[in-house]
Amino acid sequence: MRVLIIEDEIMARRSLEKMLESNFPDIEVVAELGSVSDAVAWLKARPEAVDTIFMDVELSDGECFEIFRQVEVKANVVMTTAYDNYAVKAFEAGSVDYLLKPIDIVPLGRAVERCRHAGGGTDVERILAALDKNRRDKEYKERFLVHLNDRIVPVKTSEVAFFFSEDKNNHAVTRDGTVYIVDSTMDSIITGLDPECFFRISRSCIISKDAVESVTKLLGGRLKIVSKVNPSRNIGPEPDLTVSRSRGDDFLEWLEK
Amino acid sequence: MYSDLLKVRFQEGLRVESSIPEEDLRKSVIPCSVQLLVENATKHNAVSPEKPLLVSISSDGETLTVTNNRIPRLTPSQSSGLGLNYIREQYKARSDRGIEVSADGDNYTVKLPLL
Repeated sequence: MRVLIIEDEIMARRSLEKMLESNFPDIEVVAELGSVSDAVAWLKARPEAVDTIFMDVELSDGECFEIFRQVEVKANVVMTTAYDNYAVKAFEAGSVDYLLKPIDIVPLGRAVERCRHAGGGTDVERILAALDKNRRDKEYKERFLVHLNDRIVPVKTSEVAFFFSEDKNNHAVTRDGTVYIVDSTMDSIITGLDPECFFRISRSCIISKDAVESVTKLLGGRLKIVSKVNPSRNIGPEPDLTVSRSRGDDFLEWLEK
Repeated sequence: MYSDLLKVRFQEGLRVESSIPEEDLRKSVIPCSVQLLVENATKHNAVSPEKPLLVSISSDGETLTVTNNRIPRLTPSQSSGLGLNYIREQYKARSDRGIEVSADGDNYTVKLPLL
């Protein structure tokens, strides 16, 4: 059986190679690669060169799923991962097997056996679908605890039109125009939001899709959002609804979804 | 040193260079801050022996500068901002000078005041 190892950590790569070659005499490790870009180039040049690929999820330049998007993978794929429990479930659906690192000989033997009997080819569609589903199922925050004067108020995420920062303070504006103070940083706010519903248009502003009324093009090509919601406080912070130049294309794509 | 451990992990993919004058070695920065910055560099860049990540650490009596070349990843790493915020907040509490973070297309630089 011809094997390709895609793994960015050199120690892990060597130990897997050793385990394979010392336990399975018929296995030949054909090549070892560490990045998405190297793997794509290699597989494009040699589509039939290996029967099985042991593939780490986190590679040096990104996640291995990118490989499936860029090149047709004909070999059986066994994913190896150290941490992502969600991913583990997802791979059960599609990849021939998954291995948790550090790799133990018993599950490795099981994976090798499965590859020997697998019809060849991994159902990539299934892996990708499972991953997308996985992403959708990720838990997002239902509510944010925000401050209004001296009160702490729970605000439903779906009620928020945008988050923005100004003067070291972060604010949430609800659909009725009320401006609240949020304790979390913009970086941590965005991780709790469904990327389908919210978009970070700049370092200082995250907007809800429902709050976008229209978009105008500014001189120089940048985009500015006209919102359905206007903060009701006359004096006080105003969000800058200009989309960062580098995020303009992504923003329009997101708006269409 | 912690960077030696990182080198075991990344081998030729990571180089850490430091040139700090003798008198600055007696000064200090917030505990673990440099370690955090080096770790951040390996987290957010595509580290590989073909395109090594170079982290250089230098000082000028007033500030310690940690800078690295940027090697973009195809899938960006999740950023919580926790590490950098920790350093920022610690400096707020301990010094009247804050940290400076700057980035251009090629390099990412953080300047820490020497205490």
